[in-house]
Amino acid sequence: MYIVESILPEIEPAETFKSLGYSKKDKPPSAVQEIIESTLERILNNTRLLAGYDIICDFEVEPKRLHTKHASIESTHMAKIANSAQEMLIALFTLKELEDAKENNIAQEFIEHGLKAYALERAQQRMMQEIARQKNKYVSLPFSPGYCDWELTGQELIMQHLDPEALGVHIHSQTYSMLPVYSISCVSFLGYEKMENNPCKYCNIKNTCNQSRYLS
Amino acid sequence: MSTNQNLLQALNHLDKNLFFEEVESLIRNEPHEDIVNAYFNPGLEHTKERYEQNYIGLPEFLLSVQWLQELLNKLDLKNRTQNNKQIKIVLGVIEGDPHDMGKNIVKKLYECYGYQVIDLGKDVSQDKFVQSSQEHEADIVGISTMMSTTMEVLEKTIQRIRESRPECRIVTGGAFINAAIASNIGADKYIENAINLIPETEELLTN
Repeated sequence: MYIVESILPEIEPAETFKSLGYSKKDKPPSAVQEIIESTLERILNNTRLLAGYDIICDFEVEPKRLHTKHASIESTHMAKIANSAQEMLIALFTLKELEDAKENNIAQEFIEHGLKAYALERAQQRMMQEIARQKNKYVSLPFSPGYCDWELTGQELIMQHLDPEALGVHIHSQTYSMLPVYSISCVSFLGYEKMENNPCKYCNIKNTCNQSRYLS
Repeated sequence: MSTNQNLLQALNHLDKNLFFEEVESLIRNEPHEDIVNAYFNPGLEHTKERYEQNYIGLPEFLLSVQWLQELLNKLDLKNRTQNNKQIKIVLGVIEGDPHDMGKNIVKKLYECYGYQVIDLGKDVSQDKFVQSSQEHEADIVGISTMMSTTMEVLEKTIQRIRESRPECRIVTGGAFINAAIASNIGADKYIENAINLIPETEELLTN
């Protein structure tokens, strides 16, 4: 497993509004924007991205599933994308906090929660694109256990291929929840051609699912 | 403009200085028991309505609720539980689930409406739910979960609370739950969101 630590990408306050429940045409009032700005600054200064990943090419694809040497993935959508891929990227991303948690009121807590989740996704996106760039390949949409047609039990694959504890991430053996909560496990594919098949297009929860942010 | 209108204006515009100036003036000039009924309750209802009607988002709603609770905390009340409610609610996130944002919002709203909340935190074991329900003689146990993989332990927890204290009502909520699932696993009520929380709780208590 490769381990990489990096600073978080620059994030403009306005791009986080959607993650806090605002529609494109709505803007938070100035009192909320002030909290967003100060919280975002604190997160960007005091948090790092910690990523652990492995890239494998020995996987087999069937119409509704794919197999690695350690595990199988039951997912029609992933199998479709994997067909045109040369490599599979198995990754775990987590936020490493450099300072102790601050005592927050409930509004601040909610905003901080949304901003950390957003910052983690942006950092994840950036790192996956960087890995693809270094390999001179395209990277597909990431799939996470519990999303799309991949069961949450898919966390087993993450645990078998990576070493979550080495990143300070604990995956619960029964429920597959992750601690710290600001962690993302995922599988993506790397290929010489763009992998256009995007299951979010057909998904009826795309307006509420975090993964659908990759559509825009 | 009257103080009450000022207070509502301050909430509408999220003007913290104006809000707390008005609060300080009220505290000096009004009987504290009256402030609850004449200012705090209307302020809370006003905020809830604006959120319900999509005039404000969740961050504004929570900020307003926070300020209103700070107002309440400044009052010298004989009975700290507003409206003389003595309802005890044990709250927690089910074992194996570390996601507590929703539970924390629920806790804040319950406290603001005068309920006594015993917060067990997140990743709470079955034993802890049962023991706390007994120890505090809870009227309601609220169990939150965000993960479908907790279903089995959630059902078992509800069953054990039910066996140990049949009179206790059990409510549940979370990302993957709906009314049908809640009913199937033995909960008395599924609470979908912050807007429904108080009316649904009150309905449960009157039935």
